[in-house]
Amino acid sequence: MIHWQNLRGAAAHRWQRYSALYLAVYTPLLAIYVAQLPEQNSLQNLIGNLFHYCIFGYLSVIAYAFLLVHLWVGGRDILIDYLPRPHLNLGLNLYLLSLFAISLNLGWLIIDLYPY
Amino acid sequence: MQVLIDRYHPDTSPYTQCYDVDESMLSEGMMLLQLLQHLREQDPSLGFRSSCQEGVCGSDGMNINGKNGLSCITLVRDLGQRIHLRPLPGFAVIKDLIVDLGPFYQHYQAIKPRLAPEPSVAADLGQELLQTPEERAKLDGSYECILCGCCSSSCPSFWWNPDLFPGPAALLAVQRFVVDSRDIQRKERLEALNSATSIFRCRHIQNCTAACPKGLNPSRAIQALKHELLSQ
Amino acid sequence: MSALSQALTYQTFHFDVVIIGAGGAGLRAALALRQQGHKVAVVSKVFPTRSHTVSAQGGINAALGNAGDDQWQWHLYDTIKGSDYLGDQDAIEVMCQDAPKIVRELEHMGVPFSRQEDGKIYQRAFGGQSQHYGKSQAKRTCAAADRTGHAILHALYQQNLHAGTEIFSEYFALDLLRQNGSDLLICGVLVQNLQTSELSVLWAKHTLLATGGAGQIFRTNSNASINTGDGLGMAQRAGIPLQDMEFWQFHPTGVAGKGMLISEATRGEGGILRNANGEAFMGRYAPKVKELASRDVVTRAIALEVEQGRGCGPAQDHVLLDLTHLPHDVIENRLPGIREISRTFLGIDPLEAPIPIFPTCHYMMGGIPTNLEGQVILPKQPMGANHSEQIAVPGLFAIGECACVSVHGANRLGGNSLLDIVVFGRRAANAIHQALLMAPHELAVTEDTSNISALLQRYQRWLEPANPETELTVFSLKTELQKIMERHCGVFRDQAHMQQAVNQLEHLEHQFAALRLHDQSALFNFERSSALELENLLAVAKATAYSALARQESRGAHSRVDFSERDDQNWLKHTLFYAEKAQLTYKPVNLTPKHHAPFVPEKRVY
Ligand SMILES: Cc1cc2nc3c(=O)[nH]c(=O)nc-3n(C[C@H](O)[C@H](O)[C@H](O)COP(=O)(O)OP(=O)(O)OC[C@H]3O[C@@H](n4cnc5c(N)ncnc54)[C@H](O)[C@@H]3O)c2cc1C
Repeated sequence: MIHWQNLRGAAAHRWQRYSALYLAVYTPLLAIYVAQLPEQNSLQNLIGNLFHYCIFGYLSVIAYAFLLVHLWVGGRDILIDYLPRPHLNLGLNLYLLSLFAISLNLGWLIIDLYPY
Repeated sequence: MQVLIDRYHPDTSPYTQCYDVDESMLSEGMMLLQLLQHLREQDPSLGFRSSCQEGVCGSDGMNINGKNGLSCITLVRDLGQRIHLRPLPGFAVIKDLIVDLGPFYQHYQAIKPRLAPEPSVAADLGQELLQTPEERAKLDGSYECILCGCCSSSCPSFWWNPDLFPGPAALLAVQRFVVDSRDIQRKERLEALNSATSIFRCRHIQNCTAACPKGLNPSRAIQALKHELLSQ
Repeated sequence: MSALSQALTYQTFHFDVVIIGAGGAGLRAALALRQQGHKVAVVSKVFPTRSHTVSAQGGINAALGNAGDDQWQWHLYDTIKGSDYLGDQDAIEVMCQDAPKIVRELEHMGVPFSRQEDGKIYQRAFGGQSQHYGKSQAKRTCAAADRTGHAILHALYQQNLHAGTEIFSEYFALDLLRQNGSDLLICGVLVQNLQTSELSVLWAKHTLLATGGAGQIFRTNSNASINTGDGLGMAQRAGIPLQDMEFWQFHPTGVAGKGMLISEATRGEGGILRNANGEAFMGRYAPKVKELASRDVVTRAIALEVEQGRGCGPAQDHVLLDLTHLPHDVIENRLPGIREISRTFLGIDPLEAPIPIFPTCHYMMGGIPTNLEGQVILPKQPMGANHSEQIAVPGLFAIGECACVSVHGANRLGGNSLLDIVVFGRRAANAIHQALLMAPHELAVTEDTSNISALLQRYQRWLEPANPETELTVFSLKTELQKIMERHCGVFRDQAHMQQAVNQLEHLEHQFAALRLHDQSALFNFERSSALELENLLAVAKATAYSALARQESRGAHSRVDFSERDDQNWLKHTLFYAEKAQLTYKPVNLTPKHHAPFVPEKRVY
């Protein structure tokens, strides 16, 4: 369980910076990668290629991890500002839970669709 | 000319009072505080604080036409034909333009605003703690704060978390001690800010800097503190 | 809660020491007492850092010798000469000797003094300072740019926060509590919470008055609106005389027509005074040190220039302070606050144009008589033969501008007041500490054996509503008072004018007795606090007018057209004014420092 009083300051700020930096570099790469894909492609194929033939897949996993970090720090900061204090812990935990749920779902999707 | 003042007394519901002011009574170079004093002579129930009347004691912070400032150094002629005065936002109103600055003072107190020199050196009154002009120059821009509250009262981060976020004035005070070459508690001072609800609530929208009647720049001081904290 | 009359209830607190005033003097004393572990309360009608010490600009004197040779003995000489020999030489000696340590101590507390290249505290020249007993100009004023008072007050407040001093912020002290009976024994203070109007009785083994000045008795002044001499009023009502109240310092350089201060630091850094012809006229009045003569001298020079038709502006009512020849960085780094004031209030940037100035009422040399330990003293037999024997009032101390030790005599030197407040703040605290060690027992006074009921009765009148028809308001009376004092007790005085002041003040007193309040709100009732302040202002003004009228000589700031010379034969003595019967008595000046040969009064030339 997350409690607002235990949230980190400088460390979170630092991770926010790192993740932003990584995503700033990653996003153009993603754009280039997507632009090079054949026009017709199945999702299954896409995922398979991503992880089997090139390292971009792994860069993407890292990007996703960083995205999670970025979403978490940014989101919790917004929640701290806007949520009434009595609901803050609930809000933070729900938010974290939803990030987990999305990640699980995504992971499951990848595993499910992985062709090899 | 019209002066609108948001009035409040706990016995009645709040209202905005309109005073029509005869412009012949305005003198050249008249400050807003003088105008208020004039209004109070007619209506003694009008509540506002003041003391030094020259912008150094910080008593008369208020919201003037939407911007925080000190009435004693605000020229009436710069304010147009309709002046709207409100109490400093973000604080509980006690009466009319008088707000409860208690939370503001508590934040100031909480940052331990006191020089902590090397005890052995400090005990020796035969010696000054030397400081070069360059080291001393680092204090310029932070020691001059008059605790009027105009900055913190204009800061959304402070409105949102008035109990947790120290606010620009208190953070400026931290900076004043962190950069003082005589102080030995730099690390502890920075560490005390290291939480999600403290200095990192500041988003540098610079309302504080725009509001400061002394022309100080709390936002830049906060930036410098964050930088120090991250490079620890 | 104890109830006295039907309406008035009050809370009760007990302290070792109650300090009234959170300016430099009060906070310095509080810190020392708190550090000794005593139970201390500080009462202030404004939040501590809004006290008027915050406005002090130029600096604080100490013979540190950072910027050229200096010795406390020269400081002693300068101060005595500056005081026009009315200052008590033993007290001045103590102050000048303590000064270097006191300033270093402030520095250790965090005061951000400006610095010299060698890392030591920056010192600038101020008026009346010399090396070798009057030979050459000294630089003795330690400065934090031109915000020294702010720097000191904030540092002291910070130290008190750290020490855990209990502060009654926005509480108004109404009157001193006295034990009934033959002897005068002070045992605390009756205070009122300004926010709620609730009354409280603060019992204390020792009560320390540090309520600052009363410049508000004059229309044009450099003082905060809260400088209303409340401590002096309270002392007078408790039966204590006021000393040397005829001596008011008019600072030479107030913003013309407004009164805010332009610090003496401007002249210390090289500023020049010019009249309408552009002439640097100070050379005619003080050939040797010119602009850096003592304040009374410069003030009279300016007043004379204007009187003789050499004033500037359409109304020829001011002179100019010229800083335009100074290097820009001097103004930017050493005088930033002055520049700010000039730009804000006059729209003039001193880098580019001279500042219009005229003398403004600034400082009260007189006050509550005390000894070197800050204990309030009074003559054993005021009107008797041996009126010079002084006794201490048990339980009562006074320090700072409201007190008269007397270290400023007939004219204060710039930079000596900040010194006075810390030196004697500390000394009084030590004396109280010693007294508490010797007599730690609780007070024996109770409600019934004190004057509480009398005080509450006096207060009752403010609960009676005013006749809505009446023209009489606290504001109109205050304006009238300020006009009377300005017209009749200003820079130059004479018999006829001062007699008028006395008469008109008497009339004003009658009007005040009839004054009631229009606003009966309990929440921050400003009309009521103004009325309470006006009562004290009146007391101060009356003491001033009576004392001034009686002193038939010119000395320091008391400058009489009809008695234009100093008269040591008859008037080298302190005035004591008793309010009750408007009586005056006198006591001798101390002319014997302990560690230095006495300074015999000489003609004062600068
Ligand atoms: C503009 C200006 C510039 C100056 N510059 C210099 C300078 O450069 N160098 C120098 O040496 N001196 C200077 N002085 C003089 C010096 O600043 C003052 O004499 C000194 O600060 C007085 O300090 P204090 O502690 O006695 O009183 P203050 O600082 O005036 O404090 C008085 C305190 O008493 C409290 N008080 C008063 N009445 C009541 C009441 N009824 N109930 C409760 N509390 C009460 C107030 O709230 C306040 O806290 C200057 C003065 C002025 C006006």
